[in-house]
Amino acid sequence: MKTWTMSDKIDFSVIDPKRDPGRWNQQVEATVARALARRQAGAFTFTLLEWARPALLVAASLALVTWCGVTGQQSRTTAQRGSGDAAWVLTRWAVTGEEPSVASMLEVLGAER
Amino acid sequence: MVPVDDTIEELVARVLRGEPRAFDTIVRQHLRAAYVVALAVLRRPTDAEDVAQEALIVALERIDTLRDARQFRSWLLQIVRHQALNWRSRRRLRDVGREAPAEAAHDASPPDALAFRFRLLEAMAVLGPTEREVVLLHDLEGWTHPEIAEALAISVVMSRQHLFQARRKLRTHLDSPNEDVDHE
Repeated sequence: MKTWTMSDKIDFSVIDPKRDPGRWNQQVEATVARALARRQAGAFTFTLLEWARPALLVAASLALVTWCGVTGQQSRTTAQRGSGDAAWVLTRWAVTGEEPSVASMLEVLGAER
Repeated sequence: MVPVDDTIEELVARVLRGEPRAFDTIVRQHLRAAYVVALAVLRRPTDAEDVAQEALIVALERIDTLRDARQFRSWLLQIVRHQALNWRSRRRLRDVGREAPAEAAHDASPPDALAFRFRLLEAMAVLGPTEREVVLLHDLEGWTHPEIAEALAISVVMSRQHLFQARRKLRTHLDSPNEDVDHE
């Protein structure tokens, strides 16, 4: 039987993956290929996510501008209609006591401008 | 060990830039250490090979999250340990009611070598997890005690102590392999 000293290494060569260099190289190459593919896929996703935020910001800004435009147009329409609308003129007269102009009165009564 | 041209910081920076050669170098330098740590947890070489490869792929995929490139080695080994433990949990569920797969079935080594391999793997069961990591990193991967201590977050003295204990237990078991061992 062989005698050991504590400085002797344990012989792990039977479980060393490098004992078969061909198989070892295949493992290394497969790992590198898969790591590169995974990293590139990850980078693409990251780029998409990076662009997602500015794209959302632009979309939100456009939606806001469109909404403001539509709302503004609606207010203008209401205001324009209000000045010549019989109900509006009469309500305002009743609530505030502010007498409408002669032109408004004539308009309400159906006279042409 | 693979000759080191670049420091680990330079290699990590090159990996972050997506240079394929840096991936190759980092895998060649670290795959066997990853295998050794996976083997310390799993005690089945073919499982350890699969886990080591997957752990390196995961590490390289998440390398942006590594705060200090100098810590790459210990960070990688943590990932390996985590993956190996997950693998072991899944294996336990998978192997319920089944025979453990013949580990050396694909191996074309001579019968003596296969017998020694079987005894060695069985003997490793008598070691604690850290003892297994230390003795494998030192005697198979060729790391020094300061390198082991840094990677495993233990002192150099503890690394020496673990190596001493591991070698003693392994030799005792290999000389008289009939002791009961924990097969997980």
